This record gives sequence, structure tokens and C-alpha cells, in this order.
Amino acid sequence: MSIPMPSTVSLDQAPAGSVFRVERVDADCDDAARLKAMGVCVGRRLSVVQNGDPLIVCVVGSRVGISARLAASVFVHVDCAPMAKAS
Amino acid sequence: MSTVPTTTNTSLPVVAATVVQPSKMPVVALVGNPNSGKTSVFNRLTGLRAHTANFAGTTVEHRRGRVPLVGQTAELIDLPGLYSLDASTPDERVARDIIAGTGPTRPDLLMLVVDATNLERNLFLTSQVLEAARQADMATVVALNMFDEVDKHGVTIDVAQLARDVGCPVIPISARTGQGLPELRRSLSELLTTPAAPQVDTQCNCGGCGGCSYSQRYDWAESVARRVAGEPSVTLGRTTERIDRVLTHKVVGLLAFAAVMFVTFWLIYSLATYPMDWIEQLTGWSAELLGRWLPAGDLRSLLADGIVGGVGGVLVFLPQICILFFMLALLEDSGYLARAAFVMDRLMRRVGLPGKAFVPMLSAHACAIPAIMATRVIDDRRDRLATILVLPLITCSARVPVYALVIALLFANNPLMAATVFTGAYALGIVAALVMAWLFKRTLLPGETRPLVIELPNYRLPSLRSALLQTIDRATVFVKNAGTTILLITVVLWAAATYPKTSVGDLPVAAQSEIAELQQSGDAAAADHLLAQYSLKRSVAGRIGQAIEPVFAPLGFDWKMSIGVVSSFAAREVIVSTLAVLYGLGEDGESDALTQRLRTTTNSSGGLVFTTATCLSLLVFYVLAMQCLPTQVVTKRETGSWGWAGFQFAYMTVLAYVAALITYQTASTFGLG
Repeated sequence: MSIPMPSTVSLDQAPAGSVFRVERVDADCDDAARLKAMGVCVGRRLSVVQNGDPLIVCVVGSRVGISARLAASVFVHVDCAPMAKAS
Repeated sequence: MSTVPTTTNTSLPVVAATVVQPSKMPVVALVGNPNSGKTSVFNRLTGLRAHTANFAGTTVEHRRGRVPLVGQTAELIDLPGLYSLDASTPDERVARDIIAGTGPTRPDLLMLVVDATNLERNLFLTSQVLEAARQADMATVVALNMFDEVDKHGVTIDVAQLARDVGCPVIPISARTGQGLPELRRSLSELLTTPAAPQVDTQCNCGGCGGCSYSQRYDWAESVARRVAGEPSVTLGRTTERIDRVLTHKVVGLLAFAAVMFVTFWLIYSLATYPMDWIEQLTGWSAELLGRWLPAGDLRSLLADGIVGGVGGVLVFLPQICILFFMLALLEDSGYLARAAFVMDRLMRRVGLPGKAFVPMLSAHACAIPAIMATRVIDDRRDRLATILVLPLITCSARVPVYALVIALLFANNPLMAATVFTGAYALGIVAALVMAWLFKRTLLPGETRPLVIELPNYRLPSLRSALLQTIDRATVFVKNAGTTILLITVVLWAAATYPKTSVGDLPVAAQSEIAELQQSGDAAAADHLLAQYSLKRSVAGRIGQAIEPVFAPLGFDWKMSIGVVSSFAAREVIVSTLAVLYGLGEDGESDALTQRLRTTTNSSGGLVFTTATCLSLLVFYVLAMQCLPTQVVTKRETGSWGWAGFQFAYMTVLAYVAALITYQTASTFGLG
């Protein structure tokens, strides 16, 4: 598992197809709790399936739609580049 | 475990206490993620032996029903779906409390429904539930649902290993095929006889640090899922991904949603026509039968005109409501409703509402009552309140008879204009709802819309059986409502329109001779209709109508229309029958005859009463006015206060009045008066 320079981006800017690890969540209390309940919390891996507003991520085995405004408060770094996904 | 402390039993619904001793029947609570197929499992186990109820002291609705087990019968309650026990909505809080053993009812056994195709996510809630159950010393069983699906995708789940990891029995089942249900029943019986709390340590006891415990739980869920099912299936989500490429697309997704909406409404308006006709015929036939059996008098009038007519007038919408519920249940079960909320979110946010508000808005086109009930999916209280407040502005099917009458008056011979005005009335309702929502979110209920976070479950073939059972359940609630609240309103309105009684002798001489003349000429029906017309005018409703005529005069309404507004206060469609009586056609006046009569009616100065301006004003008024007491009752129930129901009535009436005033005055200025 080689990590290519963990540069942090917000989730709404993260390109589709890659796998990321959540670094921090800056959303307010309620929203952070809703994200956590869906699996978007610090340390979790997720992949971006579709960009846009709302965007779709795949996390804890299922697809979750998240408004881009909220996704902007989630910061992630690349865990796995697009090529590695289709092994 | 069946020795439940009597203190907790006192808060059980009173209805249960009247049947058998409630403590004798063990209670099984159904827990699970929102898309785990919990409802299908419930329907499979209970069938038609279920009904909808509220938890004592809450507005949280749930379904409960009896399940025949081996040698005993248990009561199954379907708790609201949850992703985690850290609850945010009232529904989730009740579920959490019940699982922790501190809720309005204490179950003897928890049945945790886990979606085998989505093991990792479901195991997160599982870990929380297992711990809560252990602390509350509550027996638990895991129903591993959709087990047939897993097989299809070549994944094997080590059930024995999973049972060891979760420390309680695990029964693989499929609610769709019925596979594993006998085993599940047997396991429920065993656990009820010899209860055992789950023995497991999910290693998530990390003290006060919330984020940390979440992460540990997800780690646990992931490790258990890997251990029992290996690597996630590659093919499992593939179909969903392909379908979603279309259905969640920015443009195509919206078009697809429009198409789904169109089909739903086409079904509602086309299929429902037949049963609606039958109900109308049945109502008419019962009223006629009562008329033949009972002697003429107040009792006959109360039963035939008041109760049968009034309740029948509401029941006639039952077929449409059933089709709506059936379609919504199918769409939800298939996984599509989440996509509808997803694609509508961006558009709805412009007016300050979340995407989840769109399905209630859709339902409101059939009836505002189920729509208001459907707002429970909205997370944020203010968003939900704003949605509830504007929902009755949307054109429901009860407005259709009023639109039809007015449009027939205006454009009997011009189908194109009639269609345009009809569409315009619908559009006015939608625009008004969106504008008012925008306004409320900026003034009364300020705050940003809660951003969307929604699970997009894998698409599944929906279960017709399950949808049908849910529809029957909803329909029962609607019929019960019609049999209680609406019945009461009907009786009050009947009394207001009947008393004080008027006999021919009470009328002025001119009127008496008019009636006598008709009788002599052999037209008894016309004489009766004329007497009915005078009676209504002299009744309480009639007097109120005449008293408030000056208020409605600027809208172009005469005293008869004012009576119509008063009498249709509780149910808008009543105005049609009121006008029929007031214009001397009797209650069941043929609609063509009524239109003809209204079109030619002139006022005392010889001008037409129903001018274009008046018709348009009446139409606008009925598009926007509240005029539906049952909806108000539901608003009160869902918001928890008469204050919001009162506010809803007040703002809608003011809005309707002002808009009708502007319409009438503008139209009159342009010479349409």
C-alpha cells in the first residue's frame, strides 16, 4: 500500500474513482453526527463514486449521497489512486 | 423475562389492556437499519394481523402485530429504522430508549434485522444494539435478511462464526422468499422461554470520546464482516451502479423523476376513477335506501344527508389515497425514493427546503394528510415545519370538483382554455407553496437547510405483498379517521346547515305563494328544492354566510357563495353541494344543470352573478385557502401544537383572500366583471 504524497483536499474537490481516508470533519455537531452515523468519520476509508452536488461516495459498503456544501467540510487524503481500484 | 415490572406496563397503550392481559403476551421489538428490509420481515411474520399505533405519550408511529410462534403468540413491534443509537429525530430517540429498556414499552426480546448484502454497515448498529441489550439484560436474536441475494453473488457467509462474534443466535432468512422463517420462529420461541442476553464484547468501550468509539465500532464491524464473509463481492453493487449512472444524473435523473411522477399521477387519476364511481354510487344508494326506510324528519336527514353524504364525500378519495400509498411503498422498497430526494435536493434547496421534502409535496397532490405524515423523513425540525405549513397549498384531489365547476362555468365550450386554467390552478398551488416555504425559511424559521446525507441503497425488486399490506394498513387509518373526526365534523356542519328548522309557514308571504304555485303546477321536486333553498338561508350556516357577505363582497362573492365558503370550512369540496342547494337544485343537483343555473343567475340589479372575474376569484380563493379541518387535525398532531395549525389556517386564509381580491379587482378593471 504505497501512499503517494498525502495531500489533503476537501471531499467536494476529491476526484471520482479514487479511494480516500478521512482526515478531519469540520461540520457542526449535528451534521458531523449524521455523517458519522453513515460512516464518514476520521480514519475511515471512502471512495468518491460521482462528483457534483450532491455527490456520491461509497463508504462502509454502501453508497451515500452528500450535499457538496457539507462535503466541503470533510477533509480527506488519497489512500489509493484510481488505477489500483480495478485490480 | 416475562415478569415485566408493573410500573413500566402502566405506560402501555390502553387498547392492549382491554383485550387479553398484556403482560401475558411477550413483546418482540424489531430493530434495524432503514434499508435492511425490516418492514418486509415484519410483514412476513405478521401478515394481516398488524395495525399502526403510536407509542404512549409520543407522536411516534409504529406498526405492531401478532406473530404465531411455536406454542405461543408474541406481539411484534416495528421500531423506527436507525443507523446508530445516537439519535437525532424523535422517532430515533424512541427506538433508542426502547432498545435501552427505558422506553414507553419494554420488549422481552430484540430481533435485529441485518442486511446480509450490506454486512459491514449493518454490523455498526449491531455492535451498539448488542451492548445496549447486554446492559439492559435483554435477549437478542439476529435475523440475517436477504440471504438469498448473497448466494446469488457468490459470497458465502459463515453464519456460525457470525453467531460467535455477535454472541447471540443468527438465523439466515429471506423476507422475500420466506426462506428461514420457520427457524426464526423457533428461535424466537426458544429465546422467549429461556431468555439470554448477548454475550459479546465489541471492544468499543472507549469512554467519553465519541469520535474514537465510532472509529473503533467501524473497525469492529469491518473486521467481523471480513472474517465471516471474506472480501466484498465485486458484482453486488454493479447493477445499482449502472442504474444510478442514469437515475442520479444531473439532467437525465430529473427527467426520469418527472416520468416516475407522471406515471404515478396517471395511475392515481385514471385507475381510481372506477372505484370512486362505485363508492359514489354506493353512497347515493345508501342515502336513497335510508330515505325509503326512515320516515321523513331530522333523523333521516342526519343519517342520509349528514352522515352518509359527508363521510361518503371523504371516503370517495380512498381509492386515490390507496394507489398513492401503494406506489410510494413500491418506490421506497425498490430504493428509488432515496434517488428522488437526491436529484431534487439541489432544486429544493433554492427555496430553503431539503430534497426529502419533495416526496411529501408529491403526495400532497393526492391529499395533504398522508403528505404531512410523510414529512417525518425530514431530519431538521424547522425544515419539516416549513414543509408541513406549505403542503396544504398544493392542489389535492378534493379541490378538483371545485376547479371543475368553476372551469365549466368559464369555458364550457373551449377545452383548450379549460385545460390551461386547470393547469394554471395546479401551478399556482405549487408556486405558492414554494414561495411561502422560501418566505418562512427566511423569517419565521430561519436557518440553513440541513445538508443532504442519504444512503442510496442497492436497487431491489419491490415486494408487491409488502406494499399491499402497507396500503391496507394506511387505508385502515384513513377510514378510521373518516369514521371519527370527520364524522363529528360532518354532524356539526349538518346541524349548522339544518337548524333552526324552517317550515313553509315561517317564510315570507311571497315565498310561500311561490312554493304553493309550484306545488299546484305539480312540480313537487322544484317546490322542495325551493324550500331547501330558503331553509339553508335561514339556518345557522346561512346566517353566518349572510353576516360575512360584506367581507367577501370585494372578492365578487354574493351571499350564497359566502355561505359556500362557511359551509366548506371543514371540507372544501362541500361548496359544490352547498351551491347546488342554494341555487334550488337539491343536494344531488346534476352538475350540468348546476352549471347551467349558475351561468344564467342574475343579481338584483340584473347583472350576472358568476362573471369571469368572480369565477377567477373563486378559483384562486379555493386554490389557496385552507378549508380542510382533517388536515388541521393532522398538523396539530404532527407539530404537537394547535398554535401551528392555527397559524397555518390564518396565513392561508389571508393569502387566499388577498390573492382573490387582487384577481377580482384586476379582472374587473379589465372589463371581465
